[in-house]
Amino acid sequence: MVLLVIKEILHRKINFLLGVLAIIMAVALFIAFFTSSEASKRETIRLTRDMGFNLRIIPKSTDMNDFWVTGFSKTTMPEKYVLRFKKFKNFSYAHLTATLHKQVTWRDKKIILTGISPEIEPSGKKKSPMIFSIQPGTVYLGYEVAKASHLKKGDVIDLFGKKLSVAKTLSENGSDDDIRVFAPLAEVQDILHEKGRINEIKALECLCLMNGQNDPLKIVRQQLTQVLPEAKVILNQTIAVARERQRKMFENYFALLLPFVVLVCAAWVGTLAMMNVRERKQEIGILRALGYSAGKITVLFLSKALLIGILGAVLGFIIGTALSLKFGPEVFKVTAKLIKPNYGLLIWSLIAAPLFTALASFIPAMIAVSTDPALTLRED
Amino acid sequence: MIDLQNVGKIYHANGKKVAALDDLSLRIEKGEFVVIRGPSGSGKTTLLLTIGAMLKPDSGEVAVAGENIYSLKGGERAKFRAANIGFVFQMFHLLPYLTVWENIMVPALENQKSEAHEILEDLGLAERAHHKPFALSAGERQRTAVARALINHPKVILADEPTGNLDPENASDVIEHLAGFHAQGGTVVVVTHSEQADVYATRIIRMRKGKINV
Repeated sequence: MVLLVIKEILHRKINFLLGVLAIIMAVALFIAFFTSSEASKRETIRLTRDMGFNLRIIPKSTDMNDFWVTGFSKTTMPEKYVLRFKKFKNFSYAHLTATLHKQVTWRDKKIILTGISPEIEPSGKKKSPMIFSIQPGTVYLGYEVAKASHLKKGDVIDLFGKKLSVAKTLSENGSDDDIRVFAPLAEVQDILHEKGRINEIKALECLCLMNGQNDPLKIVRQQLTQVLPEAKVILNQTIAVARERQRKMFENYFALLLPFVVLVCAAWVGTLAMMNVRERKQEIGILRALGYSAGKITVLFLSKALLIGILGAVLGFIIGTALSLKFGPEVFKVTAKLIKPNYGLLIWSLIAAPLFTALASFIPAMIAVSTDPALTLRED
Repeated sequence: MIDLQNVGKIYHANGKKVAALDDLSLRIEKGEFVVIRGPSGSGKTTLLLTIGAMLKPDSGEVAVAGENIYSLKGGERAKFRAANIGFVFQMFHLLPYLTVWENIMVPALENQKSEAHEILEDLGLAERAHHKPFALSAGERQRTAVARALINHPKVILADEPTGNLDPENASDVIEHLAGFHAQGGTVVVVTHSEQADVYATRIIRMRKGKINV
C-alpha cells in the first residue's frame, strides 16, 4: 500500500509538487503573518511598558482644569481603594500603583513630591514590577532636583523634617519627573499629613482591549465603574496605541485575505486531486479487478493528500518563518530579534494542513471509488 | 463452478437501451477451458466482467465457486475476487510506475515472494523483474499480466482478448501459459477472436446480441 502511494507520487511528480506548492503558499502566508504579528505585539507591549503608565485613576470630583494645569489631582481618596482591583479577574488594568503627589517648595525650588506604593496586580495576573521599588528611609531624586541641589547618591537630605538618604539620582527624562522627589508612599503621606490618602492610582492598560476593541477607553471606564465608582480614569493616547491600531489594521487585512487564500488552495488541491482521479481512472479499475476494495482505494488517495499536507506544512513553516524574519521587521516595524520561530505553529500546521488536504481531496476520492471499474475496463 | 441464471444487463447509450446480456444462462464446470467468441458488441466482455464480480447484472443470479457473488458486500466481493479470480486484459493493464516484480505482488494476499520467483521463472520474466512496463515488449507485458493473475492461485482465470495486441508467437506463448494453468485443474474463460486457443478449449461459446448462440 505504502509502496503504491510512494511510487505513484514519484511517477506523477508534477501533480504532487503542485499540490505541495499550494499548501506551502497557504501555510507560509499564515506563518509569516502570525509570527511577525506576534513579534509586533510583543514589541508594542514592551514599548508601552517602557513609556510608563498610560492609565491614571483619579478621584471623581477632581477639577480637570486644575489637574491638567498642575499635573495631579488636588482631591484625595483612600489608599485602600487600590486593593479593590486585586479581586477582579480578566481585567484590563495591570501594574497598579497608589501614588500621592503634591507641589511643594523645597530648597527655594518648586518641586513635586511623589509618594509611591509597591505595585499590586488584579487577580490572576503575575507580572514583573514595572516601576522602581523605593526602600523606606530613601528617596529618588529627579534630574533637575539633583542637579540644582548638587545632590548625589548616598547624600542624606532633610525633607520637611525627615532625614532621608538619596538612593538614586535619575537621568534626564524630559518630563515633570525631572522636578520630582520620589519617596515611599507612607513617608510622603506622613510629610504631607495625608495618612492613608492618595490622589492617583497609576496603571497600565494591558493591551487586552486593544486586541479586540475599537474604543479601549470606553471599556476601561466601564470596568472602573464596577470596581471603583468613586474614581475616573484617563487613558494616555500613546504611540503604542497607534502601533497597536496599525497591527490591528494588518490583522484585518489578513482576516480578509486568509479565507480567500484558503478557498483558492482548497480549489487548487481539489482540482489537482480530481485531475489525478481522471488520470488514474483505468488504474482504479485495475486495482478493483485485482481485489482492492473501495475503502483501500480511498486510503490510497487520501494517503497522498495527507503526504501533500504534511510536506506542505513543514516546508510552509520553514518558508513562512524565513519570510517573517526577512520582511517582518519592515512590514510590522519591529526589531528582527523579536521575531522568533513559533514551533507551536508547526504543530498546528501539521494538524491543519493534512486535514485540509484530506478534506479537499475527499470528493475526488469518493468519485474515484464510485467510478464503475467495469465501465472503464469495458471501454478498452 | 460458474453458474449464471437468467442474467440481464442493459446499457443506456444515446437514449437507447442496449441489452449487453439478455436473459443469459450459462454453466461452466470446474476445470473447463471455455472460449467465448462473437462479434463486437455481442456482450462478451460484459459477460466476463459479470462473472468476475466486477459488474452487477440488472437481473438474474451469478454464482462462482458456490458463492452468489452479487449478494456479497463490496469489501467481501473484493476479497472474493482477489482470492478466486485472476484477470488478464487485452491492454495488459499493468501499473506503469511499478516494476514487473511489484506489479505481480500488487494483488498478493500474503508474502508470496518464493511463488512470485517461480512464476517469473516459468514465464521467462526473471531477467525483467526490475524493469518497468514501458521497457518491456508487448509479449513480456502480457506475460507479466498472466503472472499477476496467477499469484494468488485463483480458481478461475478470466482473459479478455489476451492475444489481441500480440504477434502470433507471443500470442501462442500466452495461450500456452493459460493452458498450463488449465492443465493443473484451473478453470479458464477466454474471450478471443483468435483461433489459437481452440486447441485447448473444452468448449467454444458463440455470443450474439447478449445471448448464447446454440
